[in-house]
Amino acid sequence: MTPSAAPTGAAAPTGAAPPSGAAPPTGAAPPTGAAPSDLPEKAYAVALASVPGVGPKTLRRLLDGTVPHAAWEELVTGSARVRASLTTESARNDARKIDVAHVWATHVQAGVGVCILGEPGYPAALRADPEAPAVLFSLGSPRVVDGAPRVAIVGTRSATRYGLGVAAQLGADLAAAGVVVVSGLALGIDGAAHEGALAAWRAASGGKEPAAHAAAASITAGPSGPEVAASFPTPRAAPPVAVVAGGVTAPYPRQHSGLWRRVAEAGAVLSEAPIGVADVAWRFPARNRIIAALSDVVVVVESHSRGGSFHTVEAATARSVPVGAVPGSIRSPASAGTNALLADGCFMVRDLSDVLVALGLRLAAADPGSWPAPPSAQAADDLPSPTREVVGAVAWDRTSLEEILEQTGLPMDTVCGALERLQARGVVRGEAGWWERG
Amino acid sequence: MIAAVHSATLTGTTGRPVVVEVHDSGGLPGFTIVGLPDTAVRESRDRVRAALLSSTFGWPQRRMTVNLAPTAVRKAGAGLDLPIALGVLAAVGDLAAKALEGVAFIGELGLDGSVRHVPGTIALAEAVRGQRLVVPECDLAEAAAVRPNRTFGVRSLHTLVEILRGSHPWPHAPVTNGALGRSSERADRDGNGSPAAAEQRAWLERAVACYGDLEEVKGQRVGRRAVEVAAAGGHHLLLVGPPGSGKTMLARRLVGLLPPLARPEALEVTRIHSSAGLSAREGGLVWDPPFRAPHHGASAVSLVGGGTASMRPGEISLASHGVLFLDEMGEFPVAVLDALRQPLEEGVVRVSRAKGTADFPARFLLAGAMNPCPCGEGGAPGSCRCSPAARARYVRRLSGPLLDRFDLVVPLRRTTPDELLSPAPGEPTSAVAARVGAARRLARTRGVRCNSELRASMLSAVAPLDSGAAELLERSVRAGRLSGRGVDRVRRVARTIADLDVARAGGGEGAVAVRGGASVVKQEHVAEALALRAGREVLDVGG
Repeated sequence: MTPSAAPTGAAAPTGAAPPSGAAPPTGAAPPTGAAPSDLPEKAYAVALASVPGVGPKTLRRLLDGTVPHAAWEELVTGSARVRASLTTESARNDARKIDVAHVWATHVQAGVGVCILGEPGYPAALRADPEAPAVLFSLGSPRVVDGAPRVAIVGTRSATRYGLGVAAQLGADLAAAGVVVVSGLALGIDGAAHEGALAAWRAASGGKEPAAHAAAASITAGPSGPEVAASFPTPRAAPPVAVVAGGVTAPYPRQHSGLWRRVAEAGAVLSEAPIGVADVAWRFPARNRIIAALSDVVVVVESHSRGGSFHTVEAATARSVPVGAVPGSIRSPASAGTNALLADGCFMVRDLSDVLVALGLRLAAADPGSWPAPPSAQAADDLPSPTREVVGAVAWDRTSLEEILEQTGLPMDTVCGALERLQARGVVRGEAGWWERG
Repeated sequence: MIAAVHSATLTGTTGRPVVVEVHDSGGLPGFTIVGLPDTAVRESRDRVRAALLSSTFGWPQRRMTVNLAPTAVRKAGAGLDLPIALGVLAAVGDLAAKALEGVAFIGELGLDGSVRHVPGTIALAEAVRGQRLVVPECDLAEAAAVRPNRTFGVRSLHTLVEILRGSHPWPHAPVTNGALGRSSERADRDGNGSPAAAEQRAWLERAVACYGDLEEVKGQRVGRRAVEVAAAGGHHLLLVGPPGSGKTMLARRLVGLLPPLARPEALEVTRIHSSAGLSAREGGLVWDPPFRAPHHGASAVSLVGGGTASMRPGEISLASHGVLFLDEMGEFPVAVLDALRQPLEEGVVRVSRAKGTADFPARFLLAGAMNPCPCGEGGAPGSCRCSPAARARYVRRLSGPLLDRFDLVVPLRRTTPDELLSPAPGEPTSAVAARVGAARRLARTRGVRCNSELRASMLSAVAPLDSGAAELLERSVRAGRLSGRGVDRVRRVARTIADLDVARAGGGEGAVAVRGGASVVKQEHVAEALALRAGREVLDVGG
């Protein structure tokens, strides 16, 4: 065993490598073999993760107790240990087709950071998790997850306006209070939470005053708070973190490519998948376990009964991570899952302070004004006649135009005219034929 | 000897004059038909021979050549049987050539010498040259609609030859039957005569019997209003709702709200239906707006027309001046739907084949129905369980330009059990049809048949907005709810809604015309037009 040489040659340009990738590889060099010896250990870790038949568990087994280079050699040559952990020959055949230098160069050129479990640079928050990814890929700075409390905001992709609004508000408030918002960059709740957190982060870091309520809130460690609370610094807005299923340079869904880039610039986009893997379905629930493992608290904003968010909830429960849920209308299918979680004993999330309490933090100066107070119901009484009846027929959760017509008995043009006037004044809001107050 | 007989053949929905020449000479006995005959025409040799023999005439054991002039036009169908038979008789001298001068003949022959129905008689009758026209008796009413004078119906070849020989008089042309009497009254009606009202009532009765009454649709106030606006303004309508929300029920009742056809429209519809081999209700003309609902397995050719040399009109032409209903629009093949775009734009579909070209009229009201997404539940926010990709794939089947043709994209929700079981009937078709008729009369004062035909340049003159309406439109555009193209569509629909408002206020027709002709479009009219477009948000295709 001889210490490996520093990376040289075109395959690993040290100048272009990201900070984490440029660190000199540790561990032992290959014993003997045909593979080029001028690649860093991380290159072999990336190559191992790129083999189609090697999932997170196999990857951990392969890298357990050995350096990536040695593990790669074992995989390609088919040693006894590898044979025990791989059931098919296909993974070995696939591995033989992989050009390690090329795969490594692709990652270096794309500016993707690579962290290996157990080595410096790997997020401390994940290190102790039993299912932590053996190799973590990142865009941005993966270190942002350490040193601040982390809250996952998750939920359905087909969210209502209510859910989107709550997710954005919660994301903004948490980020402004210095809590790292973790989510999955999916459509719906995930995207809204990231947008909210980004807005708060930008307001704070752009030289402007952070959101007023966050500045007013002074957070101190609670008496019985977890370890992380004790080390919590003065409130400063925290950047958002996304954990995605596919490669970090392949935005999915495409509608979120702009948001993806902004999250990576402000905070980090993390994944256990290397560049170029297919977006296969199993990666999405597998990604949810990383979100749960990273987070101190998981908040489900809206979820259908047995929706995809339940993968995150199960992973969080298995790790004893507290799960909170935002209550919703019992008539809204998008809140069926969250309401069921509340019935099962999850803590209720109505505003920022509910989450901070669960984190073991508390707001010294509670700021009830941070969430828009529901418009007073009496305001409707001063309205002129047809408008008053119409506003009375619009419920606080979604009401179809059909129901409003049914309840008021007025002609459709009168009702629509009144609804549009109310919308202009911000009393009701309408979308796709459904109306709601506020 | 040579004989020449006048007749006509059908290409698409247009007739073309044809001269049937028959040449008789010595030589090896034979019978040849030349001049681009199709299979049916070529087979007429056997029908003609049998019909002549059954009608007590002989079959010449000579060499007969039949030429169908002009030779460049393809001849289709069996309508040339009768002229060929008469030509044979004249060529061999059994009939004086003079008797055939100035008379045109159309008819298919049975083996027993009977003269049978020919599809497209009305188009053929328009095309033939000659002072007199002889058609099968069953097609007389149809032919007489365009040639009321000196058109005669015959039942058998034998009778006809007797007439031509002079041993029988020409039959009295029964041109004053019910259908024709009505049509002549229709020609000069101006919209407030009592015959028109009687026809309207008769059509309503038939429509309700055939397609159902609007009062049977429980709940669905938005949907019922949408079909009313669609009928009044001729606005294409797309109903977006989950299974069981009554989309099909509503679309079927849409046709009953349309007024009965005016004479030029009836002529056009009859020409198309007759060419396609569909017979009118009681002979004569088709006065009822047609309703066509092809299944989503339909091919592009069956929808737009075409086929073999005979060029059959497609479903969109058969729906002319009526309703074309496409149920489960998301299930139609993309190519079939895109074939609709050009006819929707121009009101005409030009079918071109190697063997010929045909123009079919295709001015129809398009009613579509579809689920909001593959699972069907996507109408209500937060209810859908489809993946965003699956939803996008489903909606993409309707191309943007096709979706843009729909002025009304209406979200429907499932009817609740309370509404279903409610004994209270909705408004009946007759009441709604009265408003639709009044609104259509208002549209005619603007020089169009209905408001959907208003050009963008006319809108500021005929659909002026009050301040509230203008403000609402501006706010919607700024909020991204409405695109520039959408603004004009909303204004047209708002014009129709304002017209219906005037009609609802009632009063005599004169009062309606005075108040309605150029009344201002108010804020609530624009608001309702926007609400009747909200289905675009369900489909997530923008304003």
